[in-house]
Amino acid sequence: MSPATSSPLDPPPPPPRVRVEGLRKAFGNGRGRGGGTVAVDGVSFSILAGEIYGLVGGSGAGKSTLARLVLRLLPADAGRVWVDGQDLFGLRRRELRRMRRRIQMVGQDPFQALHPGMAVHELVGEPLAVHRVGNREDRTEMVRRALDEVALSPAGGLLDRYPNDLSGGQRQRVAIARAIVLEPTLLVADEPTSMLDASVQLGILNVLRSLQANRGLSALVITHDLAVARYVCDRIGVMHAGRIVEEGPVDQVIAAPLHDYTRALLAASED
Amino acid sequence: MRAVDRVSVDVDAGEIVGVVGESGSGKTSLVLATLRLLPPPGRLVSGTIGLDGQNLRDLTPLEMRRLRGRRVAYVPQAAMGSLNPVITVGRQIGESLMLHTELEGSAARARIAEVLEMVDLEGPVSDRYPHELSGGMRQRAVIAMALAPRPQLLLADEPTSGLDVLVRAQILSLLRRLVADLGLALLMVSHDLRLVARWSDRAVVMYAGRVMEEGPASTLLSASRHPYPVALARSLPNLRGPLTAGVPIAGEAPDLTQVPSGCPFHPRCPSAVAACSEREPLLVLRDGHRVACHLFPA
Repeated sequence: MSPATSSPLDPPPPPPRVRVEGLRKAFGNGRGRGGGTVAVDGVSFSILAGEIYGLVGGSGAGKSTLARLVLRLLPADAGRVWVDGQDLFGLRRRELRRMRRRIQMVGQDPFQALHPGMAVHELVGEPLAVHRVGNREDRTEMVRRALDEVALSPAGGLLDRYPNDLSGGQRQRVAIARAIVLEPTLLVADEPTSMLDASVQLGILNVLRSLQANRGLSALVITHDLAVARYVCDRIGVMHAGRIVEEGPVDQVIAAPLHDYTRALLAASED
Repeated sequence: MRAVDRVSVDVDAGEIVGVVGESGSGKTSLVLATLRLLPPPGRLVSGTIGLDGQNLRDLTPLEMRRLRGRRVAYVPQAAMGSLNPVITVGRQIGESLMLHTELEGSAARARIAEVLEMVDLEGPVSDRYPHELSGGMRQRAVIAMALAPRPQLLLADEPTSGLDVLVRAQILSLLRRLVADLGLALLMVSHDLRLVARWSDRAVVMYAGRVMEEGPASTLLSASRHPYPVALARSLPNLRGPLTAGVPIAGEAPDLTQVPSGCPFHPRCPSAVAACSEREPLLVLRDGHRVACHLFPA
């Protein structure tokens, strides 16, 4: 909101759900051959409540490293992340554990993400057990609701089936159900459809959109595919060589790209 | 279980035929069957594999072995996995020449330099090890190795999987140029409808081991006849215009051990009629497309 349009009577803008400032991460110490690699080089962005923010870019741009920093799965060299106003890197072990309930992740490969020896109801119920949420009946109900939200019907004994009996699309829905069963405030999805067949990709993207509409879920979606970003994201940041080189509402970035790298990416994605 | 069921594909010199299908559609088995490299217990039950009028099924295993690499080359899916990590790129191309051609010494070295240039790799790459190269350079090296013995037919399985978006376009335009310049026949397998539509001359759409439609690649996204490629194209997210042209296809591709009766696509087909579950439609030719669908009778 620019000062010109806001009056003193307007309420202040809501704080972002996630604020990332000056994140940096380098791998290697620079003494070996080729030197150190700066994977994420001073990245800042915010995600509002109920917003889906996309990180778009080619391989090696630093997208997945950035996601791991935001999840605090990797220590950052510099920078800060705030989730709902809390400084993620300043949290102590027990506070971090509580925070983990609120930040969940879905990976790229639903064939690797699910333990083959656990049935669907165990897979989706496990996060509830780990975080000691509710009693047994509450958990059963929460599992049922999570599966409902990813449009998996318990019909046909689905709850008792094992990952090997499920198709790729069903597995990815189970992975998403597992991530949302704790009702997180932020979902980080790293290339959630890139390993799925074309005919099931759209169904998974629709699940993300309905979670946003029904739960007000905020999400960080990582993709190399601008058409996927357009379908599911509100705003995107285009990453190249560890930096966000362009950011804006997704339609605007696609219609009028400003950075040369964004233009090249668009040209390579056109039919 | 029939991974590939009564599939016929022709590829001309100087032509790119793109075979597109989802996982389990039989596209990789088609390539392996063409090379007579189906892993046991898989076997080629019937059909012919013609190369310049010769049926490759009549060849002895030894003759087939001499032909592979020499006249029919194969570019497998993951470039890193098909290069030996402890041998330089130049020597690996040299091995291909030693196995498949009579070239030796300076003639072989000249051919190595020539094929590296063909794929736009600079001379010093010859002395590099695979891990020192980027993904795109590795894929170029694999293509150079395949082309060194001057094959007539190149079979490429997902030639750009795992590559960066920008690098992908470079590799595909390289392949297109090589096909035109060398009069090569290229059979390219991919799960990516847009890629096949943009980079091949003809497209073959497979589903549950069978051909659903074959036609000019330029019409694949906009003017396919069979409901399966039509629905597939409509379910892709768009970069321009409406977000998508349609809705996701219900359900998922069948397990090959339980292929539905009649047309294998009928349980997911928005236009299915009673006949679709009862009789299997035949491939019929209609205005430049071969289509297997009851809605398009001969």
